[in-house]
Amino acid sequence: MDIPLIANHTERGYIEDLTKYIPREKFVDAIAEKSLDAVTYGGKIMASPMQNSDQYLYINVDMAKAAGVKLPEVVVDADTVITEEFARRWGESAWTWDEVLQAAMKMKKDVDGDSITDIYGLHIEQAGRLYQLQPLGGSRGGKIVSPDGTTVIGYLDQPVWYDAVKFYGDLFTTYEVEVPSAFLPGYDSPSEFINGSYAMMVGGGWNLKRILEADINVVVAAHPYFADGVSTTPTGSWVTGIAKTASEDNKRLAAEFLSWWTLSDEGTKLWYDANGELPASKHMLEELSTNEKYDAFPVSAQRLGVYQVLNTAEGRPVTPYYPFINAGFDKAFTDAAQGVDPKKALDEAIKEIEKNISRVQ
Amino acid sequence: MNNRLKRDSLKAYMFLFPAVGLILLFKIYPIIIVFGESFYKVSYLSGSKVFVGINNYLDLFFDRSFWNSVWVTTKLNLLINPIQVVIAVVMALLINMEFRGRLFYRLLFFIPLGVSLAVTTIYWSIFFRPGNGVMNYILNSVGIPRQPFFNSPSQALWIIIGIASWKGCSFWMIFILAGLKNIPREIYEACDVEGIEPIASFFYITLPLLAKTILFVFVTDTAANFMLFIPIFMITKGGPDSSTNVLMHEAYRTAMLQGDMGHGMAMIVFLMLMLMTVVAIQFKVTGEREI
Repeated sequence: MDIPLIANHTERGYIEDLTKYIPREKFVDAIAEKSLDAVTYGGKIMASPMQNSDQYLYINVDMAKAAGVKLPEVVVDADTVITEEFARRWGESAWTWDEVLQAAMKMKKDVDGDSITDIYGLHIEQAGRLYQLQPLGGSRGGKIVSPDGTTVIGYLDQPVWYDAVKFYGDLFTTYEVEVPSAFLPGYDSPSEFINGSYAMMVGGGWNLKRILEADINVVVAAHPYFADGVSTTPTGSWVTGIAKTASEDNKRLAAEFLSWWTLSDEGTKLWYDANGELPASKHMLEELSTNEKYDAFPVSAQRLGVYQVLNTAEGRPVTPYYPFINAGFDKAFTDAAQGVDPKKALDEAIKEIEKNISRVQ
Repeated sequence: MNNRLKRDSLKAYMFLFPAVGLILLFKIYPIIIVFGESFYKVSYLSGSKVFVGINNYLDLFFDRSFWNSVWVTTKLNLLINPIQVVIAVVMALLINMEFRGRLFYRLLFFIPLGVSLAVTTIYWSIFFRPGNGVMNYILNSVGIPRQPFFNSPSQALWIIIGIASWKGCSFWMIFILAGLKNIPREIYEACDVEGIEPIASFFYITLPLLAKTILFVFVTDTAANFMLFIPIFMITKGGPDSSTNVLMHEAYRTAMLQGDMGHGMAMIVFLMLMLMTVVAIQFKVTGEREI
């Protein structure tokens, strides 16, 4: 399951407390602290993380050069050796969203002069989605839901979120730098980036290998932030729990497998080598950071993800009502991108979220 | 004689059993379940089920997104059903005519039948991509500015109608074509002898003799379009600004995404009643008691 569903699935009695089958110490020893916190709900470990996620700004260098855009001071390319010190400098040289917008405006291009944009300036992966867009408010300290998870009033209705929705909507409507078809089914963001449909992509670390091995000249910069805020980045990924309805025998077997797969050195290494996404286990994070095997580009670029997890990562809201909040958030940002007044879009979404929460309480 | 009648009746029931059984299982049984569930509320977190009487129905009256979806469903059906029936009639008339290359057009008109609505939706969503999609290049080449299509609250529903009609018209055309084939040729030969113009023969011969077929198509098309879901679910998800949020999608959102099964079921019962009312009105207006 996706990590923010843990609270919901726990409250609804779908998943089992894993410490009934695997000692808590084993999790503490094996899983990075923030990742373990994220799978802990009500003091119980309800799932085990298979991996984590990280976010980058991918820039097409040829398009940037052609548009006269100067790249951020510290970026990663095929020749970069990523050390801990480099990752720190890289993180600190992130562009602000204003700088991203200015660059996107310059890189947007109508190649054949028919007044139809052929190359868009910027695309933020997972169009309209909470996971991807939370930093637009989070960078300025915006929280989405109350600490007890029962209301968004006093949180999502704050100016910082109205600004975030407006900023996102303006990318499509006012500045026209974002890809308007990104909301359609099957829109494949990394493929479109590789094909040159747009010049920059804010997207997941899961694209690193594919993009950096493609035949385009690309660099990886740190995730943007607002000048009057701090850098925050999406985090969290898929986790595995054990169904409460399973038989005891099957639960024990599942726990045995889960323990090997997500907690053992052997299992986590095998999973990382096969899957390639940012690990959540301490062992693999350490391996990734220090083992020479991972010095080679593009895998080495994932060391930047370690920097993010330690410095900028901010998880999604922890609440049993996450599905409602997620749906409302998506609708507000999607509507604003499609020309609805941002204030109206967010107001409507907040009303719907509150209505849905109160209806099922 | 009596025994024979009994045997024949038994045979008839046996032949009817598979169809009736499947209708009962897949049509009537779900309707009964939906109706029953609409009187219950299932706790989102604990899963416990409580009988709430007509509360789910009363809640509908204060639910703004429900009423918006009723309006969108009404608007969609007022537009799509006449459009599809008229186009289906025109298509059937065309391929019923004798002309060179008729086979090609026949094939062309039948192509949508071989493509599922999900695949149709994906193809057309690529064609109508906002920004630099194929349709925008075509429009641009004839001097029309690019359009937002699915990203526009005023255009998205029309594109959905277009997608559903591309497939729907071919389907309904078959029924109309069957109706046309049932009109005796002698009547048209008599028209020729009498020197009646083709347009007059269409309005005075073809159309009246097709009336029952057209009514059947109109009613079943309406039933199908009241439940139109796939293109909306796949492309717009009810947006932008709830402009394509039909009642089927609203019920799906309420029951499946928001976890309020009872409220969603009440919406489905409302949709069923709405559809039955519309079909009754269609019968009344067209003066037909049976198809």
